[in-house]
Amino acid sequence: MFRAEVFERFSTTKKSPIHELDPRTKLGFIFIVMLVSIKLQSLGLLITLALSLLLCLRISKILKESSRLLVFLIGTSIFVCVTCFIYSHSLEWSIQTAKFFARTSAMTTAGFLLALTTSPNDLAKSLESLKVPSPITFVFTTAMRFIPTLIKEVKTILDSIKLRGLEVCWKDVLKNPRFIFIPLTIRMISLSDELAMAAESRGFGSSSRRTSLRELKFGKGDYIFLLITVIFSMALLIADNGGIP
Amino acid sequence: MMSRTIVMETVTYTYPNADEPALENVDLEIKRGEFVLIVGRSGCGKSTLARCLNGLIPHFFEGNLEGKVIVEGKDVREHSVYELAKHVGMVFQNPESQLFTIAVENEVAFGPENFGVPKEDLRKRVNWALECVKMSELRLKPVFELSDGQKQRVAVASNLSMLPNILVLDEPTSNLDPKGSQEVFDILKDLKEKTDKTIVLIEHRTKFASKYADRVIIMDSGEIKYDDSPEILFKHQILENFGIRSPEIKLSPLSSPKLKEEPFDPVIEVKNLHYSYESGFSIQGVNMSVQKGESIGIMGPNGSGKTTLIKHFVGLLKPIKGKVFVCGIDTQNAKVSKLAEKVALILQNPNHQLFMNTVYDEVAVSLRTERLSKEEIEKRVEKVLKIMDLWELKDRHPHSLSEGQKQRLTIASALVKEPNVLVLDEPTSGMDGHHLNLLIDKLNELKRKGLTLILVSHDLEVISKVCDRTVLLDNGGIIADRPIEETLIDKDL
Repeated sequence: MFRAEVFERFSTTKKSPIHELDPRTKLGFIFIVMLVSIKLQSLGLLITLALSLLLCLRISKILKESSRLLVFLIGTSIFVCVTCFIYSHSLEWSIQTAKFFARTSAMTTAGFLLALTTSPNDLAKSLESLKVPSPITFVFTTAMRFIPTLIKEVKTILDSIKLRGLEVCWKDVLKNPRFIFIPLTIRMISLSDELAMAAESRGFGSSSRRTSLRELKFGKGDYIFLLITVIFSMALLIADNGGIP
Repeated sequence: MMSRTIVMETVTYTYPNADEPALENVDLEIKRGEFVLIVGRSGCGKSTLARCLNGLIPHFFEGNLEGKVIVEGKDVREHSVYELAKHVGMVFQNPESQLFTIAVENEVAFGPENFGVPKEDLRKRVNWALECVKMSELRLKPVFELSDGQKQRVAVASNLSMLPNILVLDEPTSNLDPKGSQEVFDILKDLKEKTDKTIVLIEHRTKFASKYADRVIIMDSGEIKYDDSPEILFKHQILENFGIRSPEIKLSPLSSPKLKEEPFDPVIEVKNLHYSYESGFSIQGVNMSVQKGESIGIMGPNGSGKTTLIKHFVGLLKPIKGKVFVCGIDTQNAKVSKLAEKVALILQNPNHQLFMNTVYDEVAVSLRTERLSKEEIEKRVEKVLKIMDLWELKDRHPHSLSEGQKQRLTIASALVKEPNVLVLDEPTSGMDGHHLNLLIDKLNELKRKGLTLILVSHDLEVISKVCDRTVLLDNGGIIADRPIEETLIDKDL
């Protein structure tokens, strides 16, 4: 189930205009959102920013995948704001807390937009184009590829513990981690050895400059998206300076 | 005359920290375009020889390499693994650990990308390699959504795209069902017929491989014992001496007492079982029963529902509709630990199932949660370790054992709870003839003691030598439930 949730978005069927953007555009977008959310002081404008980002998630067709964390963030913020009001008898603390959560939500949503609409390969390529060394990006993509394998391994180990007649819950695992960690460590060491062998056998480490089947390039969509982002951000900042409450 | 593409001269190799050499005085010449099959029991040096061919030895494994290994005119000592990768492609056993990217075409492009192949050429290579393995239509599919057979085909394509003259395959079908294995062998057949690539194949399943090989090399204790035409594989005495499986499997069932005449005493009853995963796969309307003392082989292609069915026997899965009874207990509300006392399920990979520091503790751990005296625990552990020939190894660390010993240890750990039924999931995958015969002997010994056995396997040889009855599954349903004799004359298998 988790595997499907994490990786479904990389299949070819789920596409949106945001999926088509160059990952560097999305990295730039995150940077702008971070700057604007730090700079904005008005709670109303911060909420406007967060809501506009939710609209982006909707356009990207990833609202469902992100909903769990967003509901958690919104729920926590309401709980903390109400608690602040009850204990301080003042709205000021609640407003400051709400601003903090609005900023966090905006940044998190922008992060989702990158992570859930970009394949690890494209993200690695964009990082390489930004001069991040290829061994680091390789580790990143391989780690992403191995999340499903890791989940499968842990599940099989938990099943084997149960099959030995040992009832386990996470509390037991924390108390006696050997049941998970010994077999998992052995499996991971052996898998990483096999991976390293396979990588070298496929030319990884060659001194040649890596080329790519799919080269990243800025398109019309990237320029339009960045232009809208900049105009919208400027509008928010101007409105903030204009004293909108 | 064909030119020599691989030359090994008096090669002796010892792994770091090992006392004995894994290869000893190996002399070998392989000509361009040859298809060479290498066979031998586990640990005989086959994989070590393969690792010498693409430079993993001495560059990755280090250790002590004596003699000369020349591949495509290059001394492997003087060229790194990535340099040799242009000449030698290597397909490994485990499809999971040799694929790095998400989409199929990116995987196939990974090798040439590392060599800086220009984009236009890269596209052509990827298209050609995918055509060779008949995967062009799945080029954009995520790798993890493929079957294991398809993953191995992607692994072959990923090597072909580097345009090597030599392709080395180290037990590529060990984890595959017969259909997946056939897919891989069909590709090798095509490569042999349509290209001049040299193919070096290491395989236990000599039945398929012997059809295509020009030459067969038999290895034992790090040495080449025979280097001859494939006909050598049909000389049974030679194969038995070297613990190799015969290509002509004798599928005669062992004579066993017929159980049908005894009063019906079911230990497992499955009634109208329905189960479905979120992925959409389901088993529907499965009915079967297992009588006390029976030995049943559950067969079917990968994804037919075999593992889903047996997980219901121990409560790891609960029916959505229908009932499963184990020794009269309805599994719907029973705990796995309770059912594990009745049914012992041994999973495929022993490395997932070993947790303790010694062989003795590994077997004893599940008894320590019960109210048993120390003497009783000692008595039971000693008894099962002796049955499984592991008593001498009781102080060893479980992970220091050989794969065959680890498998016997997982069986011992299950048997110590004195279950009524023993279920083994794919117990013979990647197993050589020697270890296969050892396992068959042990299972027949347990059968004689009255234990009910259920084997889930693609391996008709083990099923024919242990089981009385076979249950065939396909697409989540039982398509045949019949005596072993009828299965053995089924030409579709």
